[in-house]
Amino acid sequence: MGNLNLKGVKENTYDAIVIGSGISGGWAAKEFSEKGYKTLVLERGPDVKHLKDYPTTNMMPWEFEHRGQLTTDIIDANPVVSKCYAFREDAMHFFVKDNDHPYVQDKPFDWIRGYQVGGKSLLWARQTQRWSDYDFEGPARDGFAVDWPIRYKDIAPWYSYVEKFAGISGNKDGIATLPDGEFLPPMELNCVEQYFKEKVASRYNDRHIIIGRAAHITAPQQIHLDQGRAQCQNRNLCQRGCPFGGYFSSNSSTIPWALKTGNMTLQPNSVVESIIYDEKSNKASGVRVIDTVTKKATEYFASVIFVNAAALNTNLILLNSTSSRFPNGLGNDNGLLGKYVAFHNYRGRVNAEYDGFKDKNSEGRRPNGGYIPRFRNVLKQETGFLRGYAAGFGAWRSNQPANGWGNELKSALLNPEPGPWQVNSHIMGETIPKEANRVSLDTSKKDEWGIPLMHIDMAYDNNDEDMLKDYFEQVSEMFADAGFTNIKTQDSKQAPGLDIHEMGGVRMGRDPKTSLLNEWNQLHQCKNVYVTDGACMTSTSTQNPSLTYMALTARAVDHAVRTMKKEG
Amino acid sequence: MNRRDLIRQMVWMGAGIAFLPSCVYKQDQLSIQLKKIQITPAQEKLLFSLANTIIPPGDSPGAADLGAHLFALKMVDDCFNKEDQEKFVRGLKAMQEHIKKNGADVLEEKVEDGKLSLLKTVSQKSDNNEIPGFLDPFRRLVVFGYTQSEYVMTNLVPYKLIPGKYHGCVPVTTSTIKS
Repeated sequence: MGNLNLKGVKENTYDAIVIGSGISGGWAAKEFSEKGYKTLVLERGPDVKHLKDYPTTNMMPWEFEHRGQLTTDIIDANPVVSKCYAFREDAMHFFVKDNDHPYVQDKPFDWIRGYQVGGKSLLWARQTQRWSDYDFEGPARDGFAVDWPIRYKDIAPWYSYVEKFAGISGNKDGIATLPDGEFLPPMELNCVEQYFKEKVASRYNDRHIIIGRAAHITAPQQIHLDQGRAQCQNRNLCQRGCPFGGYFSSNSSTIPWALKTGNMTLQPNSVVESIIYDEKSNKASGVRVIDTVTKKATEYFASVIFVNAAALNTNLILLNSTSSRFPNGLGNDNGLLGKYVAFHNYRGRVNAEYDGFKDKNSEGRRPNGGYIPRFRNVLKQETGFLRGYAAGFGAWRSNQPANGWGNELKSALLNPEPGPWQVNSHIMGETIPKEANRVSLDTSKKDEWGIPLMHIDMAYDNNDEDMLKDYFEQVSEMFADAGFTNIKTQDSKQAPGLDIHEMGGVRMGRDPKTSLLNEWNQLHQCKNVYVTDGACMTSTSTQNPSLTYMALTARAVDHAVRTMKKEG
Repeated sequence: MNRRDLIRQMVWMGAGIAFLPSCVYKQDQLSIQLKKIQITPAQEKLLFSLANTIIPPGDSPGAADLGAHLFALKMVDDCFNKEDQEKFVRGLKAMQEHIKKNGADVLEEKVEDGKLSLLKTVSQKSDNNEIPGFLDPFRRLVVFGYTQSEYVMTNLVPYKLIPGKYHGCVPVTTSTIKS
């Protein structure tokens, strides 16, 4: 940009630029600023300050006009996002509305987004399960995607590092497929969950029911108190933002921590249009940003750039970062950018009842559930489909339905009796990344800032269908074996995307011919650009992915800092 | 009525008035603004009476005293699709006509048994009975509005915004009943 004066360049120059302030961007911001690097964090949405910008957090149920439900006007205007379980009257202000940011779908894909400081870290389900080598070695063993360039030993210390700071509750279960971490005390399984755990353990050596490892502070340590966070109070209203900082979010944790160092500049309302590539140095020199309010474009410069815009938007930024060196998108010599995107299959549920523990109940509202780590095809291929699934598992009692009219009804409502125990499981299936599942820039449609719209082409395949069938069979059998009755399976047929676990498109790998990122999450062809959000994922495995993004991010910043020091 | 009962009744009447300026009827005007469905003041009056029949006053307010009938109207107006809204309004009209035919006094005070048997009769589903299209959702919404009202959630089945602890396995007691 020849028309920029030097003073302007200097004022807009930082050590590091982080694109996005969600769960991984927040970590990049914290790590860089804590290590003394001047860091610019660009967030496309508005600011959401911890405590201050949680408008519904302390509202009582009766204070919501429709007691939490959505109006038909909102559903009609938002056919996509209104399908999301957390898009309800108390938290819908944290979700992107369909009409505000359109995208193009070749096949149905429900793209759920949170455009604000903190991104979807305000809204996530807070499940934090580690990967093991059974996951990292999956593609190499089963012959899909490319081999991960890292193994468990490379990321294990970084899992520990982020777990200690974020606050992860969990039980040391000693399961090889789901390594133990740096856990705060576990949450409790309830009577029926514990019963099922024992029942399953008595029949299977390789199937485990555990309490989910979850990013909730069950016993605050000094590091959490230093962040201004306190113990989780089991409100189970997390999606509103937590006044206790009881669960981990960028807003309650990494962002205020980074701000406190004095090294971070947080700039909301800033859409990154593209990354600027400097042909002389063969490096990225900065980013081109559009102010969403004034629509003015400004360039910012830095020695290193972290792209943490959320999986699909990270793809979009790279695809839109064209230059004469990279006419098809930054680092995209092999043409694979945007391809091999995958997700998790969340279509299946199994419900049942249990006619026991009638004199027992749970008390309080646990923001967590039971978890069944993957047990299919772990040690060897044993089914007709590749890979496997993890599953959620939970039990609870609802009140007996209040029947009748008049005083009979009133009395039943005011003196409710607990009904039978209900049990429920849902699938979290690994999907196989394929070239055909891809995102690209739409060739004609643009957004209000002139950036091409995201074009999404994603679908399930036969492997997903076969896996779903097996999940129904196995879980139904386990339920029946435990004496659960009225077992019902349900295929929601939901479109990909609603799992909100989209991953890939900028996959890691060893070979620049078949991958975009190396083992440190650097673009093979432009080493001062790192991608550490969901876009970097070579395969998806079954675990909720956020913990892995956090660990990869902290690890990559450490590498970037060591590289910068080496290069002076 | 002894003193304690009187005080109790005054307290809940006070509660009703505080939450429900709508107790004061105007002849030609609804107590709430509706955007989509059309309801007459006479129908609103009927809904008040029905809601207080479904969950009657006694030691504590009835559903209509807590505004549950207006909450139900708001939910039908905002959260029902067009088809269900039409069924609701048609069923409500059928209900009005049924009452006209079978004695208007059934919804006046002091005929508790008559009101209940009326509801039981008209809630029976049959091909040419349009009333359940109104009465089923109305009963459900009245129950929802009543149980989720501030009065019930603070005085009768208290809601804990901050439970603090979670206990996975405890004996069933009143404290383990979810509000």
